[in-house]
Amino acid sequence: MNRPAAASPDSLKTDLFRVLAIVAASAALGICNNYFGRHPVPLFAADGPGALPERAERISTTALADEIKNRILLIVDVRAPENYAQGHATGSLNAPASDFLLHYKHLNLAPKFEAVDGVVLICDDDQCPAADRVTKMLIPMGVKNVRVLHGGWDAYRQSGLPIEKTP
Amino acid sequence: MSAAPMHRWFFRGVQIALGALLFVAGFTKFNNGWQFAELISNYRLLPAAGNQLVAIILPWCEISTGLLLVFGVWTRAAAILSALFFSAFAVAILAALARGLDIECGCFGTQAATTVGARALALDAAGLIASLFLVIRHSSASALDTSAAAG
Repeated sequence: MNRPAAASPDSLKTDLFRVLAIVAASAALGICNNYFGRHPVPLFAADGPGALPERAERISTTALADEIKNRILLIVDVRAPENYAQGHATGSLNAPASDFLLHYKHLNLAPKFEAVDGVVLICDDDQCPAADRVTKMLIPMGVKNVRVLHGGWDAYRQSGLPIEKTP
Repeated sequence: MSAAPMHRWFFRGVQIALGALLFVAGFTKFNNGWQFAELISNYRLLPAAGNQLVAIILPWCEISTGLLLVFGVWTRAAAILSALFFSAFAVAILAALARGLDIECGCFGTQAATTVGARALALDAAGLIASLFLVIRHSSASALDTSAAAG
């Protein structure tokens, strides 16, 4: 018959050492994976991912729907490509925040930004520091009227504005 | 079937389910550090460096803890760690709810868009209860460790 053994201080100590060993091994694996990964997270970067930049100006879905009728707006989706592929605003461009400058060059965004009346960034939800960070990058480049969609993709999806999927 | 083996199978089932949950949670995040750091920052609890460090290390902690639970190795230590994770997640979710933040949970990385709310909290509570159950029944876990080691 299996009788539950009382937890001795020694066994508890052993388990705590094991907990530390698991965390240490996982930390080593995580740091190595990050170092050799495709998009390494810059550690201790005050302005990197995970930092909270100043909140950029927001535009509501209602205001966006009105402005689309009267002005030329460029919608830039800064979400991850896989999320963009599942559904995005019709006519929007995908420039993920993690590689924004690379996509900025690749998509030749500079003349496109100059040709429009305003730029609207779409992120996952309203608490989207990635879009705030991209706004902070674009303003010194001279891009005017950059706003972040209030509520992000969640709000856009529920607004009834046109959506398309990447085939 | 006698009561003891049934109890053992139930225990093993909880252990595997919890391990699989943690493994999947870690696996969906480990290669998306950048996006995961942004998701963590939405909770507005840690400074930038803390978010970056958690984004790099947490997925691997979840993967290794999940694997240890599934294979029944160092079960009690893995269950203690799992209970710590779920407690921390519960604090983060409750803090977000208390401040009225409408954000993505990030429980399964950027793929599964689960908003912080009752569903995320229920999943977290289930994970915490299962982890504590495994910690409390550690003597049975030790028996499983032994049987796993033996064969």
